[in-house]
Amino acid sequence: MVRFLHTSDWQMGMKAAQMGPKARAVRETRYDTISKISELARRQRVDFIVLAGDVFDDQDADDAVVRRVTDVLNGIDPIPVYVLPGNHDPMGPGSIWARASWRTRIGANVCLLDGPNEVCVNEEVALYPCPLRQKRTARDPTAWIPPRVPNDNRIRIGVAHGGLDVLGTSVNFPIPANRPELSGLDYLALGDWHGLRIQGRCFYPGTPEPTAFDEHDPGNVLIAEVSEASATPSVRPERVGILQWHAEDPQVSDQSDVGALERRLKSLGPSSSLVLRLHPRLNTAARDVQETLAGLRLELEQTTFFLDWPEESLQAPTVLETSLPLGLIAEADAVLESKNDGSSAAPSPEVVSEARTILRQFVREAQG
Amino acid sequence: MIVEEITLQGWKSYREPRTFRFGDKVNLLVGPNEAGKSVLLEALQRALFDRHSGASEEIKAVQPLGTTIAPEITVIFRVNGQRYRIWKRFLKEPRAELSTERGGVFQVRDDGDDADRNVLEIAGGTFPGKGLTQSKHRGLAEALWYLQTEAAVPEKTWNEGVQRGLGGVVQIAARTPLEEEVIDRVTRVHNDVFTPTGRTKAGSELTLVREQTEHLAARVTAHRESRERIRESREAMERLETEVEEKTTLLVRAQTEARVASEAVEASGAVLEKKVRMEAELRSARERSENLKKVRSGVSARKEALESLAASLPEKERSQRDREAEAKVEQQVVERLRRQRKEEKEPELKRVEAELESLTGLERHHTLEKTIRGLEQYLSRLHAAEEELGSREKELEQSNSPTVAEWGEYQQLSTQLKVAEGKAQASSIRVGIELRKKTSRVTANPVPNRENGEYLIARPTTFDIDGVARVHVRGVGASLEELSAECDRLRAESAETLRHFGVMDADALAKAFASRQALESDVKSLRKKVKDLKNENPTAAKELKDSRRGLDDEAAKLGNIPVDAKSWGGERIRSRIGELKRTKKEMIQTIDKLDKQERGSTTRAEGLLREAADLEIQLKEALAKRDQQRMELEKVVQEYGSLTALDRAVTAAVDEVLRLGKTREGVEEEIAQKVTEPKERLTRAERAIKSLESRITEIRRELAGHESRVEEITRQGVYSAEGDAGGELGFLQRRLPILERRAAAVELLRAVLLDCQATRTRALTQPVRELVGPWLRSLTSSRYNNIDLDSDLLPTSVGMTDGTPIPLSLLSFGTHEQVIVLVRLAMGVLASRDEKQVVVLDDRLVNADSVRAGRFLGILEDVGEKCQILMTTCNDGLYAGLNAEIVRVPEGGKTGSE
Repeated sequence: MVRFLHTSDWQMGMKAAQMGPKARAVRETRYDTISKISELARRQRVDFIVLAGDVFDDQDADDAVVRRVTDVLNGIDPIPVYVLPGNHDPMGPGSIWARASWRTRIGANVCLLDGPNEVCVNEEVALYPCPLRQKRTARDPTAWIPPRVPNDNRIRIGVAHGGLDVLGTSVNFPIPANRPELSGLDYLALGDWHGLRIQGRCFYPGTPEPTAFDEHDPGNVLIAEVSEASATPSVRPERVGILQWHAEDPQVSDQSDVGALERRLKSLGPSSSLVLRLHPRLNTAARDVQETLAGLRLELEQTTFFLDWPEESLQAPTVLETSLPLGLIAEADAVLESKNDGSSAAPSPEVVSEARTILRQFVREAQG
Repeated sequence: MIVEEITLQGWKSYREPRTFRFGDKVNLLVGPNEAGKSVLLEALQRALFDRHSGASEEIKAVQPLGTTIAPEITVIFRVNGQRYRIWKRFLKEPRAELSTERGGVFQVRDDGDDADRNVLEIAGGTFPGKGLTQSKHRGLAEALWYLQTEAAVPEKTWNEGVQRGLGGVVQIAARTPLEEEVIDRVTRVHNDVFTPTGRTKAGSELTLVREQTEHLAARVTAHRESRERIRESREAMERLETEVEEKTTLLVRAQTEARVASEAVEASGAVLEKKVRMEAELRSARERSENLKKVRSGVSARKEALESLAASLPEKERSQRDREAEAKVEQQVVERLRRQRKEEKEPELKRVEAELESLTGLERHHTLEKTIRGLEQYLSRLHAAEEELGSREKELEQSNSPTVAEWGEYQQLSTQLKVAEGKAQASSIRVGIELRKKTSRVTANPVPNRENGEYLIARPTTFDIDGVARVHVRGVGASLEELSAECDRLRAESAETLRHFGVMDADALAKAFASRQALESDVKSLRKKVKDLKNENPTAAKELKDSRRGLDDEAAKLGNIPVDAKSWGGERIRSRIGELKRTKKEMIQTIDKLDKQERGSTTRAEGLLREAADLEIQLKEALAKRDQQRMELEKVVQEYGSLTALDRAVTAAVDEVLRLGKTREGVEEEIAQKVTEPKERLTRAERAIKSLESRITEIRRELAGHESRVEEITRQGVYSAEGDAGGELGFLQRRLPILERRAAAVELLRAVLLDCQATRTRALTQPVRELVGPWLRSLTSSRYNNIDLDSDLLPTSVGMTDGTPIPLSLLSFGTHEQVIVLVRLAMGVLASRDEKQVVVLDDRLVNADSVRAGRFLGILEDVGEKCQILMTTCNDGLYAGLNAEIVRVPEGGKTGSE
């Protein structure tokens, strides 16, 4: 029987550019997450850890990142860690794995799976690593794994990085979903897809810490147990992710919409771990709705880990504003409206619309 | 309102009551500067708009200078056909009365404050809070009255009375407070973003975001470039890795090749050994052959040398004998030459030298004698000169003749005497005595000189006239007597001098002086002569002594000369000496020649003897050598048995060498096949290995270089930095269009608002613009076409014919003033639609040139048809031809009203 922790797609050193000033904090959070994985492995008394590719976000990742990751991996000692190069950090000249910060610092418990060769963990368990040497290809990286030979009663675990050919579209590093059957594997430890996914004996733990808004069920690692050769693996996801990434463009027509939005956000967990992207569409000129929404934005701005909510989305569309006082202002508005005549000299409709909105805003504010 | 009449009293220059009457059209108030034109208009303002009870400094300033007279003003005016009279007295017992006309009679309607208030109401003004009325308190008259001290237009806007007065014909484009606030807000927001010239403002959020965007984009680009370098390095590394693999394969192949070749080379050892052996044999055969050849050629050479030596011996013996014979002949020549020199030539030379010496001594003797004679003559001349000098000096010493000084003194004395006598003569008195009796005698003591019957009295004289009288004549004071005494003294002194030198008179003394002078001159010249002689030869005495001694010495030597020679003259001696010297020289040359010949022969004889000796030695050596060579030759020949045996041995050795040479060629071929070819292969393989290893090392170095570049860049953390900068840039790039859109929107909004406002203003100010436009064109010859007014009815610019607006501030002062006058006239015309109004222009066209002033006349006359104009000027010439009431404003109010 073997018990191991399967994780992948740490994407350490990730830029998180869309977080702007919070990018550094997002990067820092990932170190906390992998420390949690290290602790979990000890707690679960696993025999080894399989890291199925994309430990690093890019082969150009900062040296400082490589050093910190090696520190964490070395800290897992004596638990062996089998590290597979993925498409983000492939093998090859000038790769991360060739850097002094990796080569000279990595501990004896860490084994880089740098070639398509069988690796015996012990007498009972053999690994079949499929390291990547490039970022993109249409070749199956697992094709080399030999079928089980008669009388081979070891637990055979494939370790690969790529997409299962189950989507009907071409994927990078396509891996046949029946690879376990083809090559007599008990467990195919995969990486590349960031969401948790299990298909037969093919397992994706997903990224332990989200990297984008559109990921399905990220933030997990897998604790796997295989009792013997050919036995069905027992697999349990463990949650380790720290941040919750959430994006939506809600339609807001009245106060109840605002309330519903607020409740949805509350259900996601503590505000301080929320990475939010909200672009509400305001369908009303009602001042109270605008004010409540502005209040919510202000609150989120102060409490969430990160908020991307443009102030402009608090403005009601011009057409919904109340009429303007007669006289100079109404005349000016009429002139502005007439500017939307589509002629080449005319200002863009966005500018005209903005000018009319500003006029209304100033009138409203002047009226108190 | 029409102003009909103004009466002033006690008002500035108008102490006495003065009344001015005006017509309903154009009134030209003419008067020189300081005449009181402006005073009249100011007084009109006080009467209509100010409280009579005012006592401010300005009011006090109205009092005639130095008086406490209460200023009074009466104005008769007409409004809506009703005539009014307002009378006000200020300061002292101030009073005001407003009267209305009823049936041709003015009846007081209001007085005091009521009068003030009601007249103000009729005039349309407002009381100022404090102090005197200012233009803004005059209601419509703010626009229609253009007084001397007032600004062209109000700072902000006309007072409400102006708009009221224009009766809706022209409106001030009033904005609601909301509009004001919105426009104000838009302007502020606009100014936050844009400069007055429409450029984006430095420091505005838009500018900052733009700058930051550029800055971040540059940073991102820099990071990307760094990463691009990593990518390039990585690609290069991939290529290099591939090349390393290829080269390594080639290397392994070359190493295998080298191993195979090396084994072949090792196996070829036996062939090589054989070759070595062959080479050794060949070498020793060659040596043997060479040695024998050398011996054989040595034998031949010795034989030849021996023969040649033997042949040279008789010649050598003959030469030796010849040299000895030649040496003997030369020795005989030497002997002969020596004899000739010693026995003939050298004694002859001695004789000639002895005679030469004697003759030379005789010549010196003669010379010394001549010198002694010359010196003796010289010394005798010197002695004679010294004796003469002594005699002359003695003569001079004994002479009693006067010296230069004494002669000078005497001359001075004579001069003094003549002067004294002259003075005495000048001071002398003429005395004439006429005797009554012819018989009477006159005597004088001393006897004076007479001249023309008169006595010349030069000293005190006593006349005795016949015993009748004794007359004492003397000079006044003591002068005559003193002069007389002085003459006497000088005469005595002169006589004493002559006596001293033993002469009788001055001429004798002059002669004596001349003779002394001659004597002194002789002494002087003699002294010089002696001195010169002495200088001529200061050592003459010593020379004489030395010469005499030399003569004695020479005389002692004269014994050697031929007896007859003693009688020879100098010339003959010198001739003989010359002859002897030449003979001596020739003899010495002959002796030298003989000596040289002798030495030459000696040297030759010695050389010949040496040659003979050398030849003898050579002969002996040659003989010895011949014997030795003969012996050696015999020895070598004996070694090989015979010369023929030696020749045979040589031939055999040469044949052996040829045989071994052929054998070696066979071995060489074998070596080429079994040794050289594998060796070449080995060399080629080794060269390839070296080149491959070198290239692999080079590639590894390049790889290391790329690796360190990658390490270096990744160490800098460009990946995260690019992310951070990119993230920030993304935010700014999303923010920038929002800001730009907002800025454009504000700009657009502001432009639209201002445009709407301008349109409205143009509509509201149309009546004014319509009136002013044609006037402006006529006034400026269509240089300016129209006028623009702002929403406050304040003129802002004039439009040129092409539409270009020229701000009023850019116009010349005169034109600006004229434009303002036209605007006010237009407002006057518009305000007079229902009720005729008065327009007041206080000398405002003073800057118009004659052409413009002329054109203004027509405008004024037109306007005068619609409203009353009160206009002052100090230059009525400008308005000649104007159809106007001329109101003369006299200076100081000296003349009465017109």
